[in-house]
Amino acid sequence: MSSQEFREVQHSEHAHPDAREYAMIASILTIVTGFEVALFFFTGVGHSTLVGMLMVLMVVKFVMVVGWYMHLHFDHPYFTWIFTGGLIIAIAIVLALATLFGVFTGGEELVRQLPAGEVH
Amino acid sequence: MAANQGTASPPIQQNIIEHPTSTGLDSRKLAMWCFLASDCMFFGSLITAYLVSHNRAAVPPYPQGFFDIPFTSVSAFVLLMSSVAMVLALSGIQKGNMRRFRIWIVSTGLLGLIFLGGQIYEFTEFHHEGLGLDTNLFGSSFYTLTGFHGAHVTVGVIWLFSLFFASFRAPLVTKEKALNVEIAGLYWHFVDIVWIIIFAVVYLIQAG
Repeated sequence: MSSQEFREVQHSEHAHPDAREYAMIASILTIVTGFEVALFFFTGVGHSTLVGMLMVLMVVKFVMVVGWYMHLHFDHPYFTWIFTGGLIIAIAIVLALATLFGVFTGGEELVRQLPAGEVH
Repeated sequence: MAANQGTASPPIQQNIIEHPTSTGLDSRKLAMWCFLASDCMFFGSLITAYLVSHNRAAVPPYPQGFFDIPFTSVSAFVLLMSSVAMVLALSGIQKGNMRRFRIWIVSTGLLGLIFLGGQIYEFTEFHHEGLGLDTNLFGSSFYTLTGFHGAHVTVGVIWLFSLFFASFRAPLVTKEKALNVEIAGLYWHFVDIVWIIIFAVVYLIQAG
């Protein structure tokens, strides 16, 4: 790659949002966080519904920060692939181990029934 | 050798700025994204360890109803706002506005310090309520996860204040070297997104 092409690639990486857009994203993040906390204290929904809604809100905040504040939405696709690759492996680790140790099936309750002192 | 023979050699500074790579991407930024991808796996493992362990505590305290959600919500808000300050600092340096950069980078660092202060207060309160690192599996996994996150925040705060002080030495932090700030920003935002996950999974979902 020539120096000219290199400069063009670097220039295209830096087409970032302006301060107004950053402030708008901050407002949305604040509202979503407030909604998360309100959901926690709102007892009218079941635990499964609460978990589902909190997970969706968490993903929304995650995508907004990574996409706009970390500029992944505007940067070269290589960065997206690298980060997404690590993220997919991380999610796979969480799901595999959680399944293996019975997090989704309540297997931990069996352990709690053991006499105190056997498990700390 | 060429310089000794009187022929013109390219200035060192020019080599640093141009330095084309096969991908056209800056190697330092690529390295940071690789590090962040690996850190995803690191925190993924710690979160899994917490999910697997926290309900296996045979002795109290248990996580249900243990956390002070309003207090942690404020901490989460503080860290979110620090991310806003970080992007404004980056915007400042990219436009060559050093005053704006310094104001926002210090704001980011101070918000990080407030978050750390809140975490220390929270840990102290939990300790007084009987949750130590070796009390039960809940305590061990909780302190390990949030402690490592706190360590990341500490490194970030040191990095941010280093950039602030370095900005007074002209060649270190300038508009032309805004990438140094952008890389620090990537790290700081990552710390923020990890807390977004911890706040939802550990505090809101598991303690609900």
